Amino acid sequence: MAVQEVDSHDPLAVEAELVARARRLGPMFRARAEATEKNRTLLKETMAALFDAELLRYFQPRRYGGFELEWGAQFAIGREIAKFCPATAWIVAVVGSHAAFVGRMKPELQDEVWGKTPDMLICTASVARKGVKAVREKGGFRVKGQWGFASGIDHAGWGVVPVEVEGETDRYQMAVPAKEFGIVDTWFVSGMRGTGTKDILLDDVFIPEHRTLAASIWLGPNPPGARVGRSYVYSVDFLPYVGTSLLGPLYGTAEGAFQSYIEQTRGRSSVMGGARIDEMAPVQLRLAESGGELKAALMLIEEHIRVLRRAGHAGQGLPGAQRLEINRDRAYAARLCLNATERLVQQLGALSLQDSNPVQRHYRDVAAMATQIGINWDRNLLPYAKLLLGLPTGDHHVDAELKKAAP
Amino acid sequence: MAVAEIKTTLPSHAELMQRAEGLLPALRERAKKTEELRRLPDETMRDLFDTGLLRILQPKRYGGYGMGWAAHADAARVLARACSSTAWIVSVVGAHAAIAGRLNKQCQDEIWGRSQDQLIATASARANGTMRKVDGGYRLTGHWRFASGVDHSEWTMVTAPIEEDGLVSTEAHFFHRALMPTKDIEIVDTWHVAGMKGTGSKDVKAQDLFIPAHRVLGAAASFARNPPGAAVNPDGYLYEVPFMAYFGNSLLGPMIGAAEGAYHDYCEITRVRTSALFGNSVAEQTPVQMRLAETAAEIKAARLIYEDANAFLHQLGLKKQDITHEQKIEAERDRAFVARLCVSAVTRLVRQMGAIGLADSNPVQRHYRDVTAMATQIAVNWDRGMGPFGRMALGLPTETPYENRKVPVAK
Repeated sequence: MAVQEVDSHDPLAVEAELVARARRLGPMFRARAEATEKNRTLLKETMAALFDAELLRYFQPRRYGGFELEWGAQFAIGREIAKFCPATAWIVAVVGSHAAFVGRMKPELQDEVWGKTPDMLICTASVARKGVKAVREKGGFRVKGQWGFASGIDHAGWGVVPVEVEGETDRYQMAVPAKEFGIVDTWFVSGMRGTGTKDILLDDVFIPEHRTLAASIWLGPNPPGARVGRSYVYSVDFLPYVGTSLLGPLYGTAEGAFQSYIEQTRGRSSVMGGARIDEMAPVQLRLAESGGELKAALMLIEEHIRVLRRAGHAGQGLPGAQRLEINRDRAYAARLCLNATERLVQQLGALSLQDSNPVQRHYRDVAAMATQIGINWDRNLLPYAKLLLGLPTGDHHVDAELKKAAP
Repeated sequence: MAVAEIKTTLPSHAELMQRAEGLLPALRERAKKTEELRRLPDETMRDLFDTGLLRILQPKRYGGYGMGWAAHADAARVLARACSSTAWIVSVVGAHAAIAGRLNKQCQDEIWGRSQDQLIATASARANGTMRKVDGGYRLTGHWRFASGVDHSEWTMVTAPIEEDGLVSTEAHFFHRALMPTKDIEIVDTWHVAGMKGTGSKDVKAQDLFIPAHRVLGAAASFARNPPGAAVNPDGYLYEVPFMAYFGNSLLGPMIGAAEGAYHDYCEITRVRTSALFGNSVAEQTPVQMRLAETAAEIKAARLIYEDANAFLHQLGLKKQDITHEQKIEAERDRAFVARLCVSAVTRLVRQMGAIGLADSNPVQRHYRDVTAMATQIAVNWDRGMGPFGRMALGLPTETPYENRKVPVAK
């Protein structure tokens, strides 16, 4: 069904349609999962299928053929794809959500990014390597340096990097077209191999002013993109929203491992004694425990999406305390996904070591995703606890708020 | 509002939560006394009657609020932040009003005819006991356990099989529910326990007690669709739909509330606590902070699963649908999982309180004892909740605990 036929003004109906498309494409993604790992980046034909099914348009502005869906659309779509191929889900849910980032930047940049074609992947690299150098010049900046973790860079038409400019306190988000950046292949890893998360290299590139934006403006309420985009995604105070996108791939991967584990364990006999493994009570108990953990993770994720949607529609920022709670819940949900998957792998025996076993791949992928700083256990649990105990949280936004509120 | 008006005007969900909130200071103050009494104090019972918190599932025809699932458990969740035993009486024992509302009209007239303030005890755990058919009814003899709130109840229900020729069948349809005035049975004070001390969940004994036929109903029939009470109380789905899906979910409200209470009290204590040995602030210690946040996240996960289950059951009820086998198995898994989250959340707090966590006067300790006591309930038992789900997921029969065979009467 074409999205136009769904009722393109009902974002939830469009979201459901995109999830249905993802489900239809799933078996194909699964069939390619091993080849994708070996390729260490998505296959060209997979990218073509994603564009063809419009799975990367959910946060793209409407005036460029996008759908401007609700926050959390990336969770639903990413979750579905991850059951089949976690790396593909990452490209769709995490890299695809960068459309919202660019949708908050200046309208002139958006014309350049989407003006010629609506099918556009935008990579971002968040970690600056040593030796980044940026100076202000007439009409823009001159930038040199290397940044890590640009998932999907091989297929991206644009890249966005965070840049510290000499003599300025604010950091800038700077967008660069693919023909102006180099790719450094550093992606030799234990999990999420297929995401092609390589380094981006800028070798003395001039970046005009309109392709840049101060990070505080970009994350704050009403950035330049809010003038032209209609969705709250382009106008809200964005900080609480950052961090949702990886939950779809993470949760869906764990769910996929759970399903695959069940398929492999039904009717399985021990290779040593021939006893039926599925009939062993501890096996059954652990399976159900993983199921319970996944349910708990899902409830937490869905709840935080509801909170963010409500705040978005109300056009309100979230109080810092609520943001810290969301951060805590994301980290907790991630740990539940990891626990649930780990428990299953541990009881698969040597079967689980095989590269071809999807549970093994899903497990490596979940563990790899769980290393993301956005869901890091210590980093997200501590500020929340300090808040409860009446101590400075270390989050300067929250601490400033608390100071203001104190009599 | 005057008490009479409070009792009879249908409240909103939010209004009920406010009434529960209003009781918290008094319940906190009475917590110690409640534990010592090993039942609710009379003044707490009066408060529960006066605020209508025991009328939530009572049929409207008899002055109740006749509400759907699960305002009673939500109110109990609030109460449990101060006193789990009181919460238990509201949620678990209070839900017996829904079972009573499924009985025939004569039973309901007897229960609520004289006074509409009623707590109905049940003792479903049978140590031994059977019924013999006689003219006009049955003769009941036996010993039952765990009749929470029985000291305050005018009516008690027990379950027993019908005895024939010195044998009883374990087949479900031989089991019957019998309703009797509490004054006709003996209350045996066996309730000396580690947690949930205030529920007064004592034993009851009946000796050759005559039960008129109208007060006996097949146990399965009383929980199946369209029991006799469905025609008496046509305005509430809980008196009509299969009840098994609902039964057992009532105790999650008290459990989550008790965990929330432990968490709240722990924060209060720890904010100002200093190490007894070195005088440094305990709150400033990173591991303390980490464990606190983990506990908070566990409790939230438990609450979200609980709310999801309640919303599901409410929808099921409104549509008058049966729960499917798969849904039931998953719901039972979730129930056990919620209980484990609560236990784990509270245990983690108590373990890092040091020796002050041992003091009877420490509310965290009481909440901890209460949560672990509630977690022993068969309805949230880990193996029982997890095993069938694992078997179902693996395509194996889920195994019912009931087998059809004859066993000798237990003496």
